[in-house]
Amino acid sequence: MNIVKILLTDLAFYDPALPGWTQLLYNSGGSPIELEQIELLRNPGQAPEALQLDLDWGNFTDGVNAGCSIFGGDLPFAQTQKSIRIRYKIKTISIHEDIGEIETVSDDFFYQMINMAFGTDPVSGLPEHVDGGLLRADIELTCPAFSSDMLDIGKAHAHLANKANWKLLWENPIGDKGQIDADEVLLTSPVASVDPDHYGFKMIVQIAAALPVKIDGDHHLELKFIPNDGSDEYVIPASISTAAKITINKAFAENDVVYSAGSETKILVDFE
Amino acid sequence: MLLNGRVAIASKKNANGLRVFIPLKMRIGGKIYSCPIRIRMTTCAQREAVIYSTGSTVSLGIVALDVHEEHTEPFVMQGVQ
Repeated sequence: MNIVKILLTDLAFYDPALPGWTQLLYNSGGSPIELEQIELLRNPGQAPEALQLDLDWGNFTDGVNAGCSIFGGDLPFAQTQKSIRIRYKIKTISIHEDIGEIETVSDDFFYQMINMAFGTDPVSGLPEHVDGGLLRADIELTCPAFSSDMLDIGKAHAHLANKANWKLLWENPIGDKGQIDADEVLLTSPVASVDPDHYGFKMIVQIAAALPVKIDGDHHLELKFIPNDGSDEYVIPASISTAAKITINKAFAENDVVYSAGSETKILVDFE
Repeated sequence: MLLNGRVAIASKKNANGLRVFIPLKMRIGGKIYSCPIRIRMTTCAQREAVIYSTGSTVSLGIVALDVHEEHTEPFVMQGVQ
């Protein structure tokens, strides 16, 4: 069976002011109108098992017009609007040899959070001072979230709960940087947020990791998030630090020369 | 008409402009036998339920799935007129 088109339909965004899902508007060159569909693919051919299709929310086609956008001065969203939640269904049009064109629409909604942003000073959790050794840190990141009104929370946050999608960049006082894997990631329940970066809801992503401290001085931590939109890893624009004061037990012999009448000696050792 | 090698009868369009497909039924010896119509379709789904992006350009992982429907009663199909 040949796929003729793949479209996004039943498009809506979550408006926290309502609160609820509401129709997306867009601009196709004239006045803002309701966004009925986005054409992702128009390419007659055999149905592939998997596809990677790009969508630019600021430059897409509605099936008729190119250069469409959900961003604009007379639309609900400026290009700078953060953490927009969008949902849609996927419509597939394929050719059946006997019937002709058949449309199928996915039963389930699919979701995106675009322009995801984390707010001011989103990372915390390092102690002010630390001894040498291995610092077992519980880092906390304030993160925009889906609420239970939007969809099932477990389904919504599965990507964020996967520790493989978080990396820690740990920089020692001489500038050496190392990437450290998270040991565990836990998410708190979503709560309302007034920070425009969160666009309605936030939660805390708790990331446990073991950070090596081998040198005296300030150590800096950055967090990296790995999105699932096909883009590279993203360094969260926040850095926290801790000052290390390492106690070194340096031993020395109390007497420089030990004289002994026998073959057994006692050496008196002190520590600095 | 033939559908997947089986005989089907297509009615005129219904009030909504969609074609109604009627699977063939036969009465043999006082008993009614249905000839079910099986249709294979392709539908698409997103590989992950939620995509997170720090920008506004997103690459969607789409998987194509086979869907099989079987009908013994009259039915319409989305988009078929």
